[in-house]
Amino acid sequence: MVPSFNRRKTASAAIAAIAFSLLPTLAQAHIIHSGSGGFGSGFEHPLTGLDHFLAMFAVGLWGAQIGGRSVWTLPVTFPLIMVVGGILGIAGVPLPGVEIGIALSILVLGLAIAARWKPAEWIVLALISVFAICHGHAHGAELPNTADPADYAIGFVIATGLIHVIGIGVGLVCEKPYQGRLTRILGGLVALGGLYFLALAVM
Amino acid sequence: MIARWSGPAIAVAGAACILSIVVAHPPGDDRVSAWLLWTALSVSQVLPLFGLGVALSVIPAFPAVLGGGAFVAGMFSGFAVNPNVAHWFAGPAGASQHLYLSIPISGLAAGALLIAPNAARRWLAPPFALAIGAMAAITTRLTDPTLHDPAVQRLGLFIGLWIVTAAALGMRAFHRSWFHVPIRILGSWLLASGLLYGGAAIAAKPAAIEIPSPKIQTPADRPPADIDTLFPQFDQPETMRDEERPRP
Repeated sequence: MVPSFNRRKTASAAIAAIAFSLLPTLAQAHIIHSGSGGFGSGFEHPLTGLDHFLAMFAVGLWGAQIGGRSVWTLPVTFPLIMVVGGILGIAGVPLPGVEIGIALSILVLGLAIAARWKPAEWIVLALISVFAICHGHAHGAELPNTADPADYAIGFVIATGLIHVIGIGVGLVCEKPYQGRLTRILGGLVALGGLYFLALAVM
Repeated sequence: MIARWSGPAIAVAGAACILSIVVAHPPGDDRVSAWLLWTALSVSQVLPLFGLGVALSVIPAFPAVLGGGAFVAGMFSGFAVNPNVAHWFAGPAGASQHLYLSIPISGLAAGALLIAPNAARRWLAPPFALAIGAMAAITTRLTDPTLHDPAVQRLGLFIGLWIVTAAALGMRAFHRSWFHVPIRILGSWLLASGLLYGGAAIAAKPAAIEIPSPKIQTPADRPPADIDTLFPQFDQPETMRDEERPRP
């Protein structure tokens, strides 16, 4: 069956969206720095690790796939709970197995998207809250003594949120063509990444 | 037409004013100009004000105007209040860096306002705008490079009003039904950055320098010293060669 013009247009938009989602990792060397430990440094931090990037991208993608309120409840909940983990990390509270938790978050989120799993909202929020604690703790423990902590915190949170927004955008665009198969394929790729990081964490 | 473009027009006019100030007084030569560019217009200061403007754009006109008035009243009260009030928040580490939590408090207030349900937002807007205005004024006073020049306070008031008005009018004129999604996401960013910054200030313990306690020696601890054994070289004849002298 030959795709209609609209379908073709949507498919092109989906490919463009996927390509756009790869930009932050490619363009991380071009971020404007406002001095050591300022906004630029905080903005760069979540983008430098592929594991964090994949998990946050998957949160946005899953929210878009579930649809309805989840489009915004997931990306709103994740940074708020991540802060709790971040403060625990800053305070030096130990969280055993945090690397395994991060790898599992990528794997589970990827599998959920690939399987098109749409559980009740509270289950989704509870799940991503656990993952957000792991990610926040890892970031908090690595938080440097910054020259401008306010700008650093804002840059860090905005970068995290932008990855969610990219995930939402890609998810909303990819849900339309081919009955959402593109989103499921992306979920499968994210899950493969999760497997890789799990193997790294366990070994 | 005028209502639609008033927000962007205010944004452009304010930016032009700031640009003219910076061009007339280069930041390298003028402290106030440098403060304007690097402190008053820093991301941490602008974002809560922008958040307040966005929140005012999605509520009915009357509470929005009330909120704008409360913001101005908050700024005047922040300028009028005794600066020692800020020291109530001096407990957390690095109080001078986070300006006595004024930046996290304004971020939390703006974030909570954006993330609140629509019905609650119109009631919360005036008190939260008052708090954000007061925190903006306290930040202006604490970062004032001249310590006394009233021009800095006027500039702080101008920047606060400019950002809030331009954001509120601009977003109101171009409102779309899906705006509730990015508005809540922006609110979560403001809340998260305020919590992270404020929480980090409270949670972080400044690393204490470990100084070994000095060993206090009482006369009873010391062995009785014989003055002759302490400086044996003093007892040697002047003719003795250096290599023959006993080493201490």
